[in-house]
Amino acid sequence: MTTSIDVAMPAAATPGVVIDKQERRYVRLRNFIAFAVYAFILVPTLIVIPISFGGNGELTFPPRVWSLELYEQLFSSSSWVGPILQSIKVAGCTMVVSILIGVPASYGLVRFDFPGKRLVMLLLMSPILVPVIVISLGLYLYLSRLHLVGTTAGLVASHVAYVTPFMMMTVMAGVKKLDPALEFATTIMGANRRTVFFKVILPQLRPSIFAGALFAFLVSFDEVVIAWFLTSPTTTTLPVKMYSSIQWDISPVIAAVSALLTVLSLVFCCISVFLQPAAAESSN
Amino acid sequence: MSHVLIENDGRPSAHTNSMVNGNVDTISTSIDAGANVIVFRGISKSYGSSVALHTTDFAVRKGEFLSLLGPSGSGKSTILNIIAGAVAPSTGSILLEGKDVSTVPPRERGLGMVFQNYALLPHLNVFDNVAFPLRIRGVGKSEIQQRVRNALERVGLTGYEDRKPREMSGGQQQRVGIARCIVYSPSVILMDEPLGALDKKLRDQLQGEIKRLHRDLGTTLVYVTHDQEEALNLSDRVCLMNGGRIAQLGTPDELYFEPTSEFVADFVGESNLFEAVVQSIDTVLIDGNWTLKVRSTTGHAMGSRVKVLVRPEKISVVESEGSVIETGDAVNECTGVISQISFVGGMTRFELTTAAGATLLVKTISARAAERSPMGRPLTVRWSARDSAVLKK
Repeated sequence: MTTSIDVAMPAAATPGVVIDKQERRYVRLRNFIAFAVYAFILVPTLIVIPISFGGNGELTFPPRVWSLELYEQLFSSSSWVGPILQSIKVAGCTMVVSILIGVPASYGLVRFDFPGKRLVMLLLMSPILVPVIVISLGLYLYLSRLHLVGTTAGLVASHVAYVTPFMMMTVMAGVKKLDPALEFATTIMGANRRTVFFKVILPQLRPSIFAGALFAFLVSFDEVVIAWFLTSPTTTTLPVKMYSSIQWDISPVIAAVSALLTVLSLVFCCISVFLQPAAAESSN
Repeated sequence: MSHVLIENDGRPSAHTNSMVNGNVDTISTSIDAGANVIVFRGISKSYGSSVALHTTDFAVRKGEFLSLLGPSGSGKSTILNIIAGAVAPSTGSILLEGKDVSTVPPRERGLGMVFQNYALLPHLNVFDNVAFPLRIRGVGKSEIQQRVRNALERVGLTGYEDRKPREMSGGQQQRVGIARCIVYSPSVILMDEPLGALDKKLRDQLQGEIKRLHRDLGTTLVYVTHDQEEALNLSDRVCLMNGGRIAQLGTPDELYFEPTSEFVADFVGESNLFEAVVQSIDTVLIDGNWTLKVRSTTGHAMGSRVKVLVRPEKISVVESEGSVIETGDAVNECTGVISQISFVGGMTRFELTTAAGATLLVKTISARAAERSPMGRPLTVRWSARDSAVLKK
């Protein structure tokens, strides 16, 4: 019970503070509600993990037989391995390109003032505000003119446009925490713009760039709507493959894929959570 | 003067440099550029309608320790930032070692700077922080080793090479900041309230170290502070700023004993200031009935209203009527009742209320409570005419 207090509301459980009966009852209720919400959010995600260890040919919980058959099927069938590799390729390229664009842009937008800065900010943030289905349709019409629909390059370009604002939010928050005096201090020592950027700014931004990059990779890896519009049978990504397999053949392999994706996301989340204290420390 | 030209012209300074350069010969008669490392010619700075620095001409001599002292918003940081190149002046031009650098970017000015918040690179250790300016200059590896070691030794941080800034105390971090500055021997070092974030004891200690460093290196040093004791202790000359203008530029001694205005007298040290009317060449009249003997009223017309400054520690208590030691100087004497006593360590402050209702601040070397005059006791004090300075009102 004590751990539950710590998790749900660390501030209320300050050791050494006398809590009266009524308050204790209130604390219990609050913790119960908090845990109900956590469960509601997490159970559907976690339930696929035991299901994925079930036998062939069924999607049941709890599984009647325990086996690795679904995973064997997944990794032996080229119709699944292809999309997995394609997704990794698209997400990797998207991540790299969005770093190359997003990091300098974030620095410039935070540090410098120029006419039309607010308009640029608004445009940059628009992919977050506009419904994905609208973006997808627009991209489809636009890229079909350029004959890029169905190509990996077209999908990467679209994902970069979609993902970069998200990663910039992380990086811009990091830039805001940097002390501008450091940049001036190194400038007056004789450093030029390039040295200041690579030797002073980038090393300090490393944690937020890393977090932003992870995020960009995950969003791109996970993205289904844009990919649905822009992929051809040869460039199908994993989420598109999953979606269509649910629609057409409800293969139980999908449980194994989901479990893998869940674990992957969990690992990435853990990494970025562990990066947070490092980011806070380096800004002090 | 150049700034008049520029003001009439109204264009930004970048375009008027050629004109200013053309006038160098005529100007240098007023401010000699030879012995001066930094020269301000008609520099001013305004942000929209608010003026941060009124038109200023001044010079920093080679090798001197000059403090810019003043309350916040007085323009002292503006001057420093203009020297550093962080702020472009609205009018006028700035010369570094005889060269007009008004349009030269900060990194090409060859200055060193120490910051209030240290501005160390958090991801580098002490060695790499101090080596940073040398690496920018492409200095060889073995020379870097040696120069960094020397610089760290000078600030007493030998053995701290591998520490990260966040693993050090504020005082140690500022020592790294100073080492990083002296390691590339800039001709001018700027310090922007370097001890502002430290506690009193550490401040005193580092003051001593900065003073010694300046003496050893002989570098020109411009030091911004709002702490008058720091400025008086460290500087060869102090530039006291007020409201975007230079209130007085002089040695600490001049500022303290010969302030040119009431503001200076009030800002530097504690003071008794009386309103008075000039009566003769060496007397003034206070409240129409108290004649005070002063050093000299030269420069003030008979009957003009002036201020008289008496430093509280220059006033001595007359122990007993018989013990007057005549020094031959004219002496002022006054009796009042003790209305306030503050014991602050080495010195004790007495406030006397005179019969006329004026308050007189007296500072004496502290004695035990049992031995000093108690509250309410009448006290006779005296001070020499030499210690009564006449200021413009």
